[in-house]
Amino acid sequence: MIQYDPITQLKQLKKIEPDSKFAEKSRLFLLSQKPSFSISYLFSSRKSLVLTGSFVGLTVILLLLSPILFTTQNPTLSSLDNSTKLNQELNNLSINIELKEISYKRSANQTITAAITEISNTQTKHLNPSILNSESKMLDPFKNNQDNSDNIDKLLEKVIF
Amino acid sequence: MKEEELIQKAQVGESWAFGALYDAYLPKIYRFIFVKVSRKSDAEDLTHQVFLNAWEHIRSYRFQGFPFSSWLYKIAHNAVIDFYRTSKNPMSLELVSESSLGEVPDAFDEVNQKLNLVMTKTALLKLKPDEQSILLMKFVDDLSNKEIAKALGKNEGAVRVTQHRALKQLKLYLNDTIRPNNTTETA
Repeated sequence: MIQYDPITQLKQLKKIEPDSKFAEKSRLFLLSQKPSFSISYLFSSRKSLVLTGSFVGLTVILLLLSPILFTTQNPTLSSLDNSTKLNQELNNLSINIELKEISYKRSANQTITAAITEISNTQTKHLNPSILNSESKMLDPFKNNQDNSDNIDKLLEKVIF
Repeated sequence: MKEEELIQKAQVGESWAFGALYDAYLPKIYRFIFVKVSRKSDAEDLTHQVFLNAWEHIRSYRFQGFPFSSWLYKIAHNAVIDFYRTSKNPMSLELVSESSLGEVPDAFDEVNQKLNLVMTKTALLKLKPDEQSILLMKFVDDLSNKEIAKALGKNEGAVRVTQHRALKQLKLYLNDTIRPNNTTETA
């Protein structure tokens, strides 16, 4: 009875070889293809890892230094850094504008009120032309003129004599 | 030129370097796949796929104390598993039939040798995929237990235990295989 040794049988398999035509065709096709770039290449070796790390580190340093590198000497701009102060100033500004507006409106209201009051009060003498006209009619034009002439004559007499 | 230098050249796109690696490993990978699949055409297709995959992802390979071959065997092992997962005809016993003798490589001139090959393949295919791979890598391609462990993602102890169990089982299958003329020889 034949007993087959597994290891001996397995070693027989070493004789298996690929077909030469297949090997040549496959090789030609493979080498005509270009491998695509993979991001994992950046971490595939110590050298590339060091280079990648250096690049990333330099970028981080530049980003951290950029506020210092690009700061101007204008003192007014330094206040822009303080957002709390800016907010306070803005709030104050708003209040001031409102107060001034209120003051103006109050003054305007007072003027308007006075004018309306004056107009509505018929007893008060004022510069309204229609009223002036009516008042002027109440006056004696000649009486006034005569009184003035007498005074002038008396004065002239005094001067001449 | 050392293998590591060739790999570094290949990683920067020098196709001649990958060509050298291809020439060195093609017979081993082809053999590994051929024993596991039924047809020669399937073995050629899968072998080509393995090397294409390796060439496309060559930059992701890192030398960590185990050779390039372990990485290739890992790709090949997974390719065969995927092949059977997607194939409509899983591992079959058509190797037993006379027609399968046509698939035997030319190196097996004598009929006896051809029969032996068919018998060994049949018995091997009855084992689990990991067991098949371990036996092929160890006894056909002479890889160390460490290299095999790296290729299959196992520890060396597990590889030794699996190897011992697989050999024992293979012996049983070999000595209990149905010959093509339908005679049975038992242990």
